[in-house]
Amino acid sequence: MYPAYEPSSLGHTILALVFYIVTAGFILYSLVALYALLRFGRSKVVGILVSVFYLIMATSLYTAAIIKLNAIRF
Amino acid sequence: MHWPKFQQELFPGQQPEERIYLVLHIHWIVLASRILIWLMFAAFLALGDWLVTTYIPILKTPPYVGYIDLLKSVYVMFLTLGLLIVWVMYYLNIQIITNERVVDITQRSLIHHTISELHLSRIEDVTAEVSGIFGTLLDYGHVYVQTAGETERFIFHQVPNPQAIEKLILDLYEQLPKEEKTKE
Repeated sequence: MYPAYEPSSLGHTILALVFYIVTAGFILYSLVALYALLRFGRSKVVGILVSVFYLIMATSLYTAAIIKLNAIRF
Repeated sequence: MHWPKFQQELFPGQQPEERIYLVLHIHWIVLASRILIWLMFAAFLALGDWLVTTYIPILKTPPYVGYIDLLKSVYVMFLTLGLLIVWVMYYLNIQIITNERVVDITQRSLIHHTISELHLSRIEDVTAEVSGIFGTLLDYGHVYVQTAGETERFIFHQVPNPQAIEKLILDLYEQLPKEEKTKE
């Protein structure tokens, strides 16, 4: 588990807010892409494999970004 | 709400006895060119890192390094998403030729999906077009299918081996019973 978000100042809160808004866009777009793949794709097996692989990648990158966010000190 | 089915037909309305002759995607070089553009965006990351190290080394020291690292992480997240979208758009855009019809499944964007189909009996003219150096060398181009009574043409964009596709469609048309063919 990555460390829970603990704002240390107003600047950090604003930075975190911007980060989470950008991340929400990323998550929304990712889910739409995966839905389109599973909904319209010819092979469900390929769709599921690609989705699982992408979700693992995206979760890892998101976790790394959260750690970077929490490492910033004002 | 639609749940994915494991056993599903290739396109809506597909008949059990319908024989599928060809399933087409865009030519691989078109996909490769899109991946090349994606790689250019990926290269910006390394280029940016080099520029910062060479010209603005202060950004490699605290507290700036934290912001740079966060920016890079978010950029990589969107890069990964970009690659997924490139592949999904390639995978979902297909053309199918069966012994009864031609089906064009187009994914214009992630939320814009269209399926057009044309019965072989309504075909009036089929044209294959190969143009450009890459198109000629790698044998890819467009196939235009003109329908009876329609002003709009059915177009297969940047498909491999367009002449063979044109011939296949015309051969399938010729195999139709005479009473099914378009009256001239």
